This record gives sequence, structure tokens and C-alpha cells, in this order.
Amino acid sequence: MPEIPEFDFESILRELADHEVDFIVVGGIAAALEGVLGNTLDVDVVPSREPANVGRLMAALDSLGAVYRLRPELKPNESHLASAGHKLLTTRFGPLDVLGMIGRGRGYDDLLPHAVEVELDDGFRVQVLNLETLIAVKEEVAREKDLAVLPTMRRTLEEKRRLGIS
Amino acid sequence: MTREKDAKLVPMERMLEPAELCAQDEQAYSPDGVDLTMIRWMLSLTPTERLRVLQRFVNSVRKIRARNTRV
Repeated sequence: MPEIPEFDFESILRELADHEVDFIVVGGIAAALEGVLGNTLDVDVVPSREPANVGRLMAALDSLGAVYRLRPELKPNESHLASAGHKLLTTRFGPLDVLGMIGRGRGYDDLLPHAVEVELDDGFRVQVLNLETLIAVKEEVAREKDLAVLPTMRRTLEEKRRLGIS
Repeated sequence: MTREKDAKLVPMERMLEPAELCAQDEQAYSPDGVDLTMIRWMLSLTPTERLRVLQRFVNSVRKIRARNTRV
């Protein structure tokens, strides 16, 4: 069985940030950063699909050794990254999903007003989709796996409001 | 030794009755069954700490699964 590297979510985000990629963290990692105790196996991001940003994203993915999870002989290219689809990749630090859109057609520009800036250790900052919008997206998609986590997400939001945590 | 005698040996600690313990447990959960104590603990952490909790959990599960390939 091939050696599977330890997952390192922080290093994936750091690599994207170091390459000055404009992106928003969504999904389970965003939920965790917003205080939701759950589980996820991959980093989900929605990047800006502006050409200059796609170039920076390409460089970051190259540095991460990103390939398609189901076709490891295939690397994402600029036309893939400029598309609205989901690119399910694996990197040397674990899985990374690059999502052109989430929910009902929400892309980077739609999500950015609903993102909060979060500073991680060593001072690097990432944009993270806020908990209210993460819940709204889950409600839109409404697959079984999304519905299953909604009670925990809603109670976390209530607790944050009760405790005055932004 | 009776409960009364035990209580005398540890006068600083108030012994909770089973009914009180159950009431405390009920307060720990939301009406839809979510463990509020874990939510409050997670919210007490910094974003980096929250990320590391998740990362450690995932890596721990993966290690256990790797050792037990048939599970």
C-alpha cells in the first residue's frame, strides 16, 4: 500500500496565500474555522476565476504537486481552473477541491461579501465564508450529508451570537 | 459506609443526586440533540487551534484505518 502523507490543511492554505491567490475557504474547513466541530477530509476553496488569479493558482497548485484524484496522471490546467466546475485534486498535503461555484451558482464574487478574514499562525490571512452563508449554502444544496450537519452548524451560530463572537 | 458518612469525609464537595446530574446533562444538549459543551469548547479556541483539532482528528482516524485495513 503506498504511503499516504499526513493531511496538513494549514500548509495547503499557506501555499495558496503565499502565491497571493484570491480565494475563499468554504466547506468543512471553513466551518471548523468558524467554530463548528465536525469532520472533513479535504480543503474546499472557491478561487477568483480572473485570468491573473488563475495564473497564480496554477503556480500554487504546481508547487503543491496537485493532480486529479481520480486521474493522478492529469494535472489541472488554466482552462480547467477558469471553469465553473469542481476540480477534485490531491496534493502533497492532502486533498484539495477547487470549486468554480458552490450552492446555486455562487462564485467568488458572489461569496466575497459574505467572507470574513481569518488570521492563522505566522500572520498569514485567508478569506473564510461566514457561518451564516455556509448554512445558507447547505440549505440550498440540501443533500443528505448537508442536512445531517445543519443542526450542529445552526446551534454553533446561536452560541456565537449568544456569546457575542463575530 | 453510608453516603452520609462519605459526605462528612469530603465536606467541601456537594454530592449531586442522580436527578441533578441528569438535569445537568439535559442542559448540555440542544433540543435537537447537539452537544453544546463541545460547541462552547470549540468556540473557546483560536481559528488555528480549531483547524488543528480537525487535522489531528482526521490524521488519527486515517492512522487507525491504515492499521486496520479491513475495518
